[in-house]
Amino acid sequence: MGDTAWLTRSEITPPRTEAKILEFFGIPPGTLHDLDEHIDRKRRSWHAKRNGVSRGGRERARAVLELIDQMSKNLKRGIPVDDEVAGAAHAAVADELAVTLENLWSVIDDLLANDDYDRALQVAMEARRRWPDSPRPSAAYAWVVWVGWQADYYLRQSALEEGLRQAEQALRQPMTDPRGPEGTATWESRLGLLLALERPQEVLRAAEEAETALGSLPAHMRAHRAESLLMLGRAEDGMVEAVRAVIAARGERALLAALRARCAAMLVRRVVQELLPITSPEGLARYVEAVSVAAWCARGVPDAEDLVRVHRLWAAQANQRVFAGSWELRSFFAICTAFISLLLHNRARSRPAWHVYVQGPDVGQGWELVGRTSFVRAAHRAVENRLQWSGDGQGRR
Amino acid sequence: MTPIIGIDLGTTNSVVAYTDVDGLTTTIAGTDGRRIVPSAVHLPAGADPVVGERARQYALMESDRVAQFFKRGMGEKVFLPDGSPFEVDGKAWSPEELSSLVLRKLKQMAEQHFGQPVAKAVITVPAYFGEPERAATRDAGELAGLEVVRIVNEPTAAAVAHGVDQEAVAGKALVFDLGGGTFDVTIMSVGADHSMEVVATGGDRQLGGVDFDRLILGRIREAAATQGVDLEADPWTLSEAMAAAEDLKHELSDTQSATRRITAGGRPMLFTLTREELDRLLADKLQEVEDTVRYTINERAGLKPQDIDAVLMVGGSSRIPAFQRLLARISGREPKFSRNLDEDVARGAAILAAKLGGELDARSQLASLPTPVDAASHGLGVSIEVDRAGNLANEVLIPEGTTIPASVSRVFGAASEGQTHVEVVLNEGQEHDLEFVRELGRATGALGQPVPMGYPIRVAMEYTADQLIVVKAYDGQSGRFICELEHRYEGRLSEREKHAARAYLANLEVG
Repeated sequence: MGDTAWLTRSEITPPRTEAKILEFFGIPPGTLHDLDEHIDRKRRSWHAKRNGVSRGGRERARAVLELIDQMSKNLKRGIPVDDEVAGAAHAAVADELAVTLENLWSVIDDLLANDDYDRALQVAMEARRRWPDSPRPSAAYAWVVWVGWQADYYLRQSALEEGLRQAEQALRQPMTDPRGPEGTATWESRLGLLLALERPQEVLRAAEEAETALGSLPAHMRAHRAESLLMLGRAEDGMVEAVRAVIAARGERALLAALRARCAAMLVRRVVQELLPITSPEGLARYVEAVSVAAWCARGVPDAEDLVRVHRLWAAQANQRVFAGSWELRSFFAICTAFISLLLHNRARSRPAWHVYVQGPDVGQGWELVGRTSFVRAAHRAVENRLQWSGDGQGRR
Repeated sequence: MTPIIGIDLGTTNSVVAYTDVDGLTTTIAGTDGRRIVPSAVHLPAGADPVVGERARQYALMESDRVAQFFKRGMGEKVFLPDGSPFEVDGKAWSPEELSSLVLRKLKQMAEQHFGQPVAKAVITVPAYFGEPERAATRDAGELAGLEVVRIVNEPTAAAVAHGVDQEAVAGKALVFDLGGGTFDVTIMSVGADHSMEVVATGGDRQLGGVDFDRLILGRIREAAATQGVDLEADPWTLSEAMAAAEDLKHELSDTQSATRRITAGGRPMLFTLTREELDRLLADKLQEVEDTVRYTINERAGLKPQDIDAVLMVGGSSRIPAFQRLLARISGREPKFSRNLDEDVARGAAILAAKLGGELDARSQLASLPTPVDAASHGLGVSIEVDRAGNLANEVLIPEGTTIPASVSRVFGAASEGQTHVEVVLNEGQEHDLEFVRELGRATGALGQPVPMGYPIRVAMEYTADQLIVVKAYDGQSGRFICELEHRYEGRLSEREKHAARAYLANLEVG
């Protein structure tokens, strides 16, 4: 990528960590000193595209501008500080909402339901100041940070670390009902924030503790464990855990759909795409298996099914044989031998589609059949740079 | 002599003007004395359409029978924000047809003024309009019974009017045109002889005074809600609040605070808005405007803000002080105002109409004024493969702002080994990414024999003065002709559709 390639980047793949967002704004190659200027440049450039001649392009630019706005706010927000002025503001919000230790969770849940993360955080911080001996404010604070992170709201590393510290502090103190909703939410915050901080080994240890403390591991925490296993390269274990997470969510329709979508996305991102491009029959078998697990997870959730669909198509067709020889020679031999050689020639010069694809355009017309097929291209979009033949940068028509 | 009129066909308001042989320009008023005609069309049941202020007043009472802001959908089938067609009594009205009714109203005003038929006009459009939108504007003129002599960019027309009224400064001028529904920024190079050349344009097709009114209305709605009144519940109250929002915006251009009385829930409610509050409401819009202005100066014109020698403010909404301060901050110069913000675009169009008519008195000041040159409103390019995976991109051959007529030739290489055909895809747009350009046409031709990868193929593009684009592909070695693609910018309506629309509209009287 050139020095200004970041200007045209329009997506940040989840999870949206601070490093990825900075990269979205061209840091690196720039430095943090350039952040404000880069945000302005990127916004202006997409603003201009928003008034372009193509309707589809205008809509895309609008979506990217929203992303730029949201991400730049997140980067600039940082961790709130407990100084005098901020403290007074927190107290004012807590007073306005008549927060007590008893109604703290319901106030925070209401604010989060309205996407009012700023005020939810202010309430939680003020509660910590007012009731320092109770585990509830710490648990609530961690919960706000965790929910906010999932909604792409809180991203600064320091904010996530503070949330994790509060969750761990709350779990060290005695709770009224450790297996009740408050205890479950706190374990969920701890596991989730560990995952957000990309500490998969610690997630596995914390999941064991949570299982002991709660009696059994709830479905969404199983999904955290599955993702951690995948992050550690334990693909088989991760897939098994993902399936268990989906099974554990059965009976709760909304949770089931959310978990199916999450597990499918996680498997595609961390397993399926990692197995591309297919370079051997063994690689093909692993790819087919991973795709079938992802497809099972996605079942009944349209967005997740869409995500897996291109891989399902490629998994089904990657082993089909494609003629990879010279079409002119084939015709020549066929005519010379009264078409007797056609069958033999076809068999001798055919290759599995994955083999043809990985060899690249030099194969000739056989590659055209495979490499230019829309679902094959879509499946490989994220891994195109791993192919030897791609990206030579020559403009041709 | 048949007069050629100049028309500013605006998103919210339209104006018609005329320049006589002595170079004197007049803005033409209707029989009601108004010189500004709201671009609103009311289509009452069983009666002829009504255009102008009366139609605008019906906007809330019969919202399904009043069309406004249709210019935002020019060149497309629909203009309503939700993408649905505007249908009245089973007929779907296109932006061209509705615009033609406004143009007919303006034509009638001019005919009453002159006491003779008017058949020719120069019509202005926003600078960022692509060629399809321009062609649609021509179609609207044709449906209204006007021969459109020329389509002119609004900022160019405003700069012409301003340059004639007050001495223009030679150098780089930034024309800031913030109207009722659209926003345009144009960087122009002005010569010592008043010649003008567009260097770069930018704009926002969804930004204008009406958007600011909506923000103020939102604030009024909140204030009413605190008193337990739902503005939406009563169309009369909403209508009154909308009028109040517009009034407040106007008044705050001169004062620091303004108050209006609204009858809400059967009792009067006073609503006060300060200039500071208005600035806060406009914060996001100001940011958008700043982005567009800076991008146009830096990226499109390749200049720095300090290279701008003069800033000219045009359009009713540029009266808002926050925008004046913004322009002063960006350019480091105090902006100048055209003499009549609401009428100068039409007046500039009238001056150009008189120039094009060729009947100006040689002694008039305008006779020596150079006519602005036409420039490509958007880049023109062809699709090329940029990698071996077959990914395509737009390669701009004629960049936006290029003076028309223009021609260019470039050599590309064959994309694949044994390639036998060439496909030429013509795109409109300056962007490299195909998602942001508009395909205008494609053609395929045979190379005659399989050629090796990288074999030279020459592509020649010509953009003629009469809006015809011709793209030809040649064998780069032998020079043999391969294929040709011609595209003439025409409106969305076919001849048959235009004929049907003309026949339908001919039976209507515009009131």
